[in-house]
Amino acid sequence: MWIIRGLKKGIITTPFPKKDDEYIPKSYYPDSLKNCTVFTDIHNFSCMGCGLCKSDMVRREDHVEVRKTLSIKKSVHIFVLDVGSCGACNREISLLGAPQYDFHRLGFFTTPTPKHADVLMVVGELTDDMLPILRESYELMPEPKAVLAVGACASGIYLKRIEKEIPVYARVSGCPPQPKYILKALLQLTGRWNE
Amino acid sequence: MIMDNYTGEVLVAVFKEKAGYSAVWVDYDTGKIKIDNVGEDKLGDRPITAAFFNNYNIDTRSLPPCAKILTYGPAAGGIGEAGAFRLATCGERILSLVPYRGFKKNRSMLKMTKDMDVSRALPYFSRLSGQFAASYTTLFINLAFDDLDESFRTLSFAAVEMERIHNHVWVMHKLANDAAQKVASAHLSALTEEFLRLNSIVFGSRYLMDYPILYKKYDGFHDRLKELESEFNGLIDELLHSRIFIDRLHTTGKLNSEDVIKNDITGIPARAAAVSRDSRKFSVLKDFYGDHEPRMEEGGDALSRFLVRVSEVKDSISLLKEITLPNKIRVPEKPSNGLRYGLIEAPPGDIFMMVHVEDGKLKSVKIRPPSVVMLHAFSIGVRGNVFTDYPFALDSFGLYFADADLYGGW
Repeated sequence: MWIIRGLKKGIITTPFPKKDDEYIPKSYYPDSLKNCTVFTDIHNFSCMGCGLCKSDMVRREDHVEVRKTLSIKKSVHIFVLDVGSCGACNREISLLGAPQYDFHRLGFFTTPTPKHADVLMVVGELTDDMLPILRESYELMPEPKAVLAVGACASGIYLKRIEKEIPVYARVSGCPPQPKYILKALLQLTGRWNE
Repeated sequence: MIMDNYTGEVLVAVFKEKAGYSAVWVDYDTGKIKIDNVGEDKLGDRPITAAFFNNYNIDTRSLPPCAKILTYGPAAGGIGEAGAFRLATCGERILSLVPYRGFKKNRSMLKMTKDMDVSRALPYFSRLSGQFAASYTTLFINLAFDDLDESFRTLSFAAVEMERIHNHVWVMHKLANDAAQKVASAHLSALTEEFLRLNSIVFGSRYLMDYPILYKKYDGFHDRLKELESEFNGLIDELLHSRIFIDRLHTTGKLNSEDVIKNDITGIPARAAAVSRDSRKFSVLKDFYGDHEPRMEEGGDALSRFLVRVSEVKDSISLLKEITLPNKIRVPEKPSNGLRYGLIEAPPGDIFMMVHVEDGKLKSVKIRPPSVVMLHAFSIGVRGNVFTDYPFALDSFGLYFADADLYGGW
């Protein structure tokens, strides 16, 4: 009876990226970063949206920055490497496969090995124990390849530590970033984003 | 036999001190917590100490000649995070398995709270473990602050129960996926997403991080909860009619009540093996649970753990339907003084935390996360299973290395 259940439910996949999806609640961010009491060098990518700064908290899109695109025409295979996350970014990446996002429809797939990967998605604070695994994973990837740093740890607070080891092509903010904006970052990184 | 009258203290944690160790014992019948200063030799032969000292080893003396030992992780796709296992196998049979923890040990989130004003520490405790953010946040605030009013406590209770629901539904999604029930798995991941969106609307964060600061009253909470309840009940009824799904979980990753008692296991695996260990009766939120009766099963296998989770989701929704969310809350500001400790029932099992505050500053923090116990339980339950059982056994415990590697403190 799964088929009947599915038919009754109808299509729940977001119209994003063809058009924006207002039904997905955006994350909270402060309207100003000036009052941050957590970091001295706060910027859009390291802000965790904790609200401790007592600024007005507003719902906003996660920030996406693409420094260099990956020119690739075929399906994109992604190797996700957790280098020391709290686990929230991992779940958000897993949810890219949920029916609401269904990133396969846009040509994105995860792979269990860096040897088959076009994009290395890095999450978390880089720990000493994961450092050699990060290097090795990047080295094992075939060319052309790109690195996407996901979440406030990898893309902001600890980005410099990651960049010492491997080049980061793109990043997405948020603690954790929402699946919708991870998807946006992937589309922009692979040159498939149409404004 | 349901052993709900089982009495006995459970060794919940052992922390290294300047001299010797402090051992934390909890009596789950009375809720009494006892902390002893002991030498290592006084801990006897409690197998759970291997988890607390993270000194697991595969006993090669007991292995047959065909046995091979391998390390699986920390970047293997099947685990999904930075963690690993050491396995001894003979053919496809798993003879022995031990957790290989520590790849996330040096995350700085907890260390950064050293000597910090407790009022500034909330975002750090909210981010110790993404999946159990509400539980860590709530337990920390209850231990580190004195001025908790009723509206805040009600909100905490709601956050912790919403966390239980989204974690349990996610575990069900993973188990359905493991059993190649792709349609059921897709429905359950969609349902998880809907619960996370509801969290975001009500608590300001999908994972309930910083919920005391970001909370805004949402009048449609109960209506939406009822819609999701109906969706959940329909999905589970359907899934429990699938013989393929039931058969794959049945007898997989089995822990019997003797295993639970011998190994000081708590949380879902204990209750799924008919051992009544549930900290809700005496946790920091005990007033909200009233005469809460732990949901229990007798099989001790992955199916029993699944069924306990199903019952707990139904209970959580019922409890949430009964409460009225506050219009506004006041975030606690008055720090406590001295050493305080307590437990909270996170989705897989309880968290123990000890917090020492002096003059409004954190002087020491010690944590025993539930995933340490779950990893230990998994290492026992998976023995004798074959490789194809491994994902069912692992996912049925709902554990995270990010959480387990928090064990200890400063």
